[in-house]
Amino acid sequence: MKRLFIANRGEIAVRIIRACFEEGIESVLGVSAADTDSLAARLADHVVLLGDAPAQASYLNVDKVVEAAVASHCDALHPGYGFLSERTTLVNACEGQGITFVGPPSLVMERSGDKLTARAAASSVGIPVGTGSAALQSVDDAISASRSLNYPLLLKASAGGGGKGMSIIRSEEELPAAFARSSSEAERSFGDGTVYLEPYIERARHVEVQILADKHGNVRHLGERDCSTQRRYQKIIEEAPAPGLSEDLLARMRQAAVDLATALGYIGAGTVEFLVDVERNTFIFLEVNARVQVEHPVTEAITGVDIVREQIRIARGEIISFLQSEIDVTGHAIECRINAEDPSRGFLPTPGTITQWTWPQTKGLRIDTFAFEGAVIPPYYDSLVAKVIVHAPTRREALDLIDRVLAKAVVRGISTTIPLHRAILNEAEFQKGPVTTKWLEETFLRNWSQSP
Amino acid sequence: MSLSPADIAAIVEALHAAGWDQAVVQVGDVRIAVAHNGAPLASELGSQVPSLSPAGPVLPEDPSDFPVSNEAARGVPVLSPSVGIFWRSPEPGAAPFVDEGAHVNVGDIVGIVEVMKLMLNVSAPVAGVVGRIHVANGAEVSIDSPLLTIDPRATS
Repeated sequence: MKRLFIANRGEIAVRIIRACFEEGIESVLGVSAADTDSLAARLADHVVLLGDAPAQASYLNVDKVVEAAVASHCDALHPGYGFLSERTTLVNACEGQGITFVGPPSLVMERSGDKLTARAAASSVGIPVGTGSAALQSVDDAISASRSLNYPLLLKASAGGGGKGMSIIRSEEELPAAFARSSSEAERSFGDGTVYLEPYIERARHVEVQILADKHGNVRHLGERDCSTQRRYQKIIEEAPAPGLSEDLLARMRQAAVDLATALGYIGAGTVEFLVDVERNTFIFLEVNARVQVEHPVTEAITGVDIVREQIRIARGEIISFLQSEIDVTGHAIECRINAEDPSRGFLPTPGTITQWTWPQTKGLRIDTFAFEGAVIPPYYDSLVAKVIVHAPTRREALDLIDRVLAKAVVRGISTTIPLHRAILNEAEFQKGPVTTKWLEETFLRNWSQSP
Repeated sequence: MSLSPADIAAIVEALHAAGWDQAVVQVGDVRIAVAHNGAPLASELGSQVPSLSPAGPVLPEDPSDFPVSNEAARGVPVLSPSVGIFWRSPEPGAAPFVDEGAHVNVGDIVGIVEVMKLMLNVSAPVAGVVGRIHVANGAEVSIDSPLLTIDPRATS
């Protein structure tokens, strides 16, 4: 592997360029017309213009991405997260051009990406999946399936992600409207309107296990992350390890993730997501993410493993660089996602030009970002501007450190979610221990009003 | 209070030195709007202070009070709820929500402003006939950019 094409933008493009630099590989970045002077474009060894600013004309266009990778003589391609990262059409197109895709083979990606197939695979190796339904063809189908289940239920898109096509249903009367809404939203978002029912856990935590698997049958886990602090199914704060769960429950979840990866014939970096029922101290399998995750740095902090470099090595056919017994989790890591959004105005996105970008420097702090003074945050893509990650001996110290970092940060030119993060970090309930997935929206945000 | 040309020059100089991409200064009835680095001139964005309503466009209390240019004199401008990209149809390739000359009712969706993957529906603040559509499909817009004009008096 000599030259790697980065089919992404923003902070993850910067992160992949760093891994290329460290691995001694040339980086080629495909950019849209809006990103020609981005930090990633400045850092990459070569830059190729993909197309116009809208993602459909650039980052989401498989033909253009592959054409650019071929034209720039790349022998590998890293898709990052989002955009085309879990599209089998990209994996196949790379294969057709003799380009190594940094990620799972298309068959594995297909098996992992379809939630119903992944659920079946999980169930076959004894992982609890929660009593749900099969694929539902019609409202009548949904009603008859729901009668053997217990409310509340969650209607989900099989091809889904990011909360799209998801509806919580508390009684049978709500089912017809929810079915129509979910399946049409799933059809629109993913080109597949298939939906199914799952039990809805009222007091749940989102806990996920990071796995790595090489082409030689080795599967390792890097412990778990808690990503329960969410708004509209989007993670806001992530931490590792997951606090306040019994060692026995964690051990079973880690083993379940390894078993599932093995059953799927998984290759590359992946995440197995679970929902933990706080009341019952049990877990059910949610889904597999066949890509590097936004929140991978918290795992890197506590394990010392470089997940992106490991992805590249696995793609090159190498054996995972560590044994499971060599993984020793140390300390506690927290990541705050800093988005270009104005929390005081309904989280309205605020693209624009950053006029000031000042952050403290200290031990245990890592900032993954594409921001700098003068950087333009375009309106075309998602609102993530920076990930602030701290690593400290204990959760208490990590909370204290990240709050002090955010207090010193000065960002001008765009609004950010920094005030929201500081308010959460200073909330007694959050400090005391882990919160549930509904806490931010249903408890915290209802009472929070930003002072001007 | 009145401003001399020298005062105005000093204000513009000060704004430039402060590094603003765009700024509006109002002293009495003199309004100075400056922009550089390709930023849209604030005076083009309508003279109202941008007030944000994610739910829909800003509607003047009384359409006849709205300060409009000659071109848009006949009608109520529909303003962009945010900076973003203006889309005339629900998805690429689909028919536009409205064309010039179409009749709309209050609340009808006339376009979408997309900003950072968030789709903000833009709905008609008044019933009437769509006059000019000021922004091309897929073009970038600023907050409060006039997207199109609806003539409430016309009937189709």
